[in-house]
This record gives sequence, C-alpha cells and structure tokens, in this order.
Amino acid sequence: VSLYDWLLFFHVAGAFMVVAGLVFLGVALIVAWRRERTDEAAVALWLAKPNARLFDVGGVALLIFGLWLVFHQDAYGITDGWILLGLGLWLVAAILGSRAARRYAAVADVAAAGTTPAAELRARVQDSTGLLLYVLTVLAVLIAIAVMIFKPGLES
Amino acid sequence: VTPGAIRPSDWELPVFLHVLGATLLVGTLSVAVVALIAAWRRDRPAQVAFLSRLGFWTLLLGVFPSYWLMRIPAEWAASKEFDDTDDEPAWLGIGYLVGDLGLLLLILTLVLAGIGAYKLRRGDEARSGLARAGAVLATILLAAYVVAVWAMTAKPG
Repeated sequence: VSLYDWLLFFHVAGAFMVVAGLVFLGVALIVAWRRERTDEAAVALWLAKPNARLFDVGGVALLIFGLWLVFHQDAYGITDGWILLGLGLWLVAAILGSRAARRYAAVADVAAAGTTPAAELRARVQDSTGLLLYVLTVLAVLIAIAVMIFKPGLES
Repeated sequence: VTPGAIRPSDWELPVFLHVLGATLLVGTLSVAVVALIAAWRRDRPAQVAFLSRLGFWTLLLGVFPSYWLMRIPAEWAASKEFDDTDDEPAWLGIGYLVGDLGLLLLILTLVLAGIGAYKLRRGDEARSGLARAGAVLATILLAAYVVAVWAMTAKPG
C-alpha cells in the first residue's frame, strides 16, 4: 500500500464522515418533521447531535488529506480548475453546514429540555432558513463528490 | 492502482454512483446503529420502542436502497476495469466478500430488528433480545464496511 493510497483512504474517510453527518441531520429532520409528541421529537432531534462532530472532523480530514494528495501526486496541481472548484465547494459546505448544524443543535437542546410544546418544535424544525442551509450544504457536498470523481479539465 | 488522473472517462459515472451509494450506505447504517444501541441503553419503554422502530425503518428505507446504489454500479465499474480473464486483485475480492456476505447480514439484521421493533411496539415486552441482536449485527456490518472502504481506496495487493 503506497502513501498515495493511504492519503486517498483518509481523504475518502473524511468524505464518508461528512456525508454521515448530513445523513444524521437529515434523518433527524425527517423523523421530527411531524411529531405530535415532544418526547418523540426530542429523541429524533437527539439524532442530529453527532452531525456537527462528524461534519467538523470529516471536513478537516477531507481538506488536509486532499491537499496532501494534491502536493504528492504529480498529475495534480493546486491551481487546476477541478481542485479550485473542489476547494470552493468545501468552503461553501463548511460555512453553510456549520450554520445548519448550530441551528439544529440549538433546536435539539430546546427539545431535550422537554418544556417546549410539540407544535413549536415542529415550527423550528420546519423553519425555511434552516432547511435551505441544509439543502444547499447537501448540494455542495454532492457536487464536490462529482467533481472529485469526474475531475473536469484533467487529461485522462 | 488507478489514480483518478489516469482513470478512463467512461468509468467515472459508475464510480460516482458507487461512491455515492457507499457514502449513503455507511451514513444510514451509522444512524441505524446509533438508534438501535440507544434503544438498548434507554430505560423508558416508549423511548426504547421509538428508537427501535427508527433503527428498523432506517435500515429498511435508508440502508437497503443505499446497498443497491453501491452494489450495482460496483459491478458496472468492475466490468469496465476487469475482463473475465483478469486475475482478481485482493482489494476487489475484499469488496465482493464484504458486499455479498454483507447483504446476507443486512437481511438478517433487518429481520431481527423488524421483529424486535414490532414486539416492542405491541408492548409484548419492555426489552427485545431480537432488537439487541440487530444492534450487534448492524455494528459488525458497519465495521465490515469500514474495512471495505479501506480496501477500495488503499487497494492492498
């Protein structure tokens, strides 16, 4: 197993953690979306908790090992269009994703306290700003994965 | 080793779909594992039942479809990269082994978690050994998929 392969593994593992973080938040939102009971909404939103940690740790690993790969592999250059696009998408996902994570972590804390009526929790879960942040983060990550695999502009 | 720099362009769509399926598979399985283990550790019967159901439905509606999104493009990509006369590299063998045995384990996990969640919902029992067995199997499955991710990227052999 070469250094390139190990770097690729840790880079890809970071991507898996980022997607897992988004899946945790997505499942939490879907399950909490129409909950009639506060305790069930609280348990569902508790599932959003690992989101921030997975997203942060995975995002950092993705960036560090991705950049290491770029400098290690002669075929890649930091100014290549697909790498700059990937870095831009990483930045967009990091900013929007961390804002979405903070927003829903706060909703999870409110739900865990158990004093907020279910209707109010539902309103917070269905808040359009939070959802927009989440959807845009998912899109940025999806496009970033496509860019990393299709590598537009790189000669075969 | 096939660095992306020299990967032919007609492999890229199946590889993209395979990677997308694999990331969703690991993500949804992680959620199911957390839900099933949380159900195991909680004391309140209503929460145990709710988390067990959540774990089961995540397995059924998240993990199972993601498995096929990972597995079908994997076969497509392998058919482009290797023909029948090629010797199968070790990493591909690990991928097939984890993928195919993993499907059996996934189906078994689904059955156990499903029956466990059903019994908990009906209130037949406050704790379900079947749901706990499902949690253990799902955790083993997740560990196997992490090994597969390593094999697919580090490509031993």
